[in-house]
Amino acid sequence: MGPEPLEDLVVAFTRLPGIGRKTAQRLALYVLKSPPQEAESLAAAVRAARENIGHCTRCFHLTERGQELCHICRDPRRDTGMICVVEEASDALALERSELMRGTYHVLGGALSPLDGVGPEDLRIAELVERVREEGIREVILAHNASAEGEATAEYIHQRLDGMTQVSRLARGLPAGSDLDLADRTTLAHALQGRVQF
Amino acid sequence: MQLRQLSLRPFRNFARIDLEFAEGGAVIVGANGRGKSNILEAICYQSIGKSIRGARDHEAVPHGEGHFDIRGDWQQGQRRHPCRVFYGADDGKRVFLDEAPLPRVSDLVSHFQTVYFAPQDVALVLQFSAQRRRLLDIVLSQADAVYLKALQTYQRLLTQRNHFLRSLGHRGVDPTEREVWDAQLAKPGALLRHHRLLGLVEIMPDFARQYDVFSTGQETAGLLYADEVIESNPDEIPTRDQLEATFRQQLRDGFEKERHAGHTLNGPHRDGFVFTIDGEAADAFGSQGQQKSVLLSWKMAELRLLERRKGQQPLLLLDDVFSELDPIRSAHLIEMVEDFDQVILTAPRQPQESLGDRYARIDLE
Repeated sequence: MGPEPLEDLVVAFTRLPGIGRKTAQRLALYVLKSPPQEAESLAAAVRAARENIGHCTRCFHLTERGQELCHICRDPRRDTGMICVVEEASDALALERSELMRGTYHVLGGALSPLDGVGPEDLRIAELVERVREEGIREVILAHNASAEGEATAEYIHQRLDGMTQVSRLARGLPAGSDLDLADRTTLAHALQGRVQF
Repeated sequence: MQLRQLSLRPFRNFARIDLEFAEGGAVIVGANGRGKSNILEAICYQSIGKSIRGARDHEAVPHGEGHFDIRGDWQQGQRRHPCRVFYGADDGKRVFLDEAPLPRVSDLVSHFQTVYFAPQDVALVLQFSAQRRRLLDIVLSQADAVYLKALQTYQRLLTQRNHFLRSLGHRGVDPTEREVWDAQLAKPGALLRHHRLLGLVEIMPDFARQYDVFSTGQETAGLLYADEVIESNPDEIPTRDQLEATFRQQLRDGFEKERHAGHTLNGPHRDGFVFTIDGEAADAFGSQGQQKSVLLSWKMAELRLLERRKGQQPLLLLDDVFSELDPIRSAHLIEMVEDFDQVILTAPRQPQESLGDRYARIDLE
């Protein structure tokens, strides 16, 4: 236990995902050791991000406050007939890194999980159905996590969109740059089932 | 496959102990309370990643300590595989195989197979339906990693579906969501039922044959799963697709009842699994002696199943069998395990039975 303000900072860091007590302490001590202006700019950046970032009214991805649509929905080069459905904005950011996704996104805001009190009405599924109906969508790509909840959410959306548009899902298989003999059995099974003609 | 070394530092009553095991096995001799069963429990940790007695991990941490650490050295053919199971009150459980950490504890299961028999637990094991299913789950998880994976997915989905059922008290039913949870649960559920039926059909002939050897009477032992008598004909087992369709139907039919109960009443987590003697449930009608014979026969059949499925003999662990079994059954047992790769026994004193020289004696001070 250090002085109280230090303790407060440590606790604040502990609340961040993936940060344990030890790391939180290290971060807090780093902040204290760094020049005052560095700590100041960190605080300013946190506040600015919090105040100036909102959600796109169409796809619910992150956008700058004052902009109704996010930079992807505003981009005229994007294929607006294709929606990639993701659980969180971080998933959209990950897919963007591939630089291959030419369509737009739809951020659900989570996955079905009655355990956490999350039902379909708590996710932006109605909004997705509305978009498919209104925007002439050719294809919906489900890019959910490979968890039990992700699968259930994908299945739910698939059923809700049944007959409205073409629905596809990401292939599951071997990670790039990894050795075959290190892959677990489930991954190998998916890779075999999803094999493609050479 | 043999266990050649075991180091506990600490584990339960042992602050520090190093044991060497001969290829053929060992008899661990020590008065009651010296921790004979704890050694077998530690060995099982290396095999199934958790307590064979169903204890929680923190219960195996000695008083005044913050962790337990079990290291084993296993021999498969010419190769040695160091294995380590570590549990810390702060960091939880971690497992290492060949010096490298495994991503999940469950990844360890199905590497080193063990069959554990403790006749003093026989009433406890046979009396409760959940305990009998656990018996089945442990052997099938060791036989096939796919089973364990499905079991974990099933339990996760079961929790979700139960919460879904409970949430319906304060909101309407979304029929699509209901369909989704049923469908998701039915997939691993059907796999579990399929593997269980296949496993039981395969075990059945060995189990019945072993019981003939151990039982003193003329009665016949059998198995019942979900009210069906297990016959030894694999062709009569429904396919996984059929089982999935049946399960979906059961969930549909039971929905109103389950909604009222607030949890899932049907599925592999509730399926009855019963040992029978002349068609009657062994837990209700069998004598103590018959029940011991039933469990012992089942364990011998487990050994044969694991041997066939994995292509190597599991390590057999026998906890205090001589005090609990009569001389005739003991003698049968010792004779029967004569050709097994490795057997580790415990006894409160040097057994009267002639064991042969394959068992190196280990004394617990």
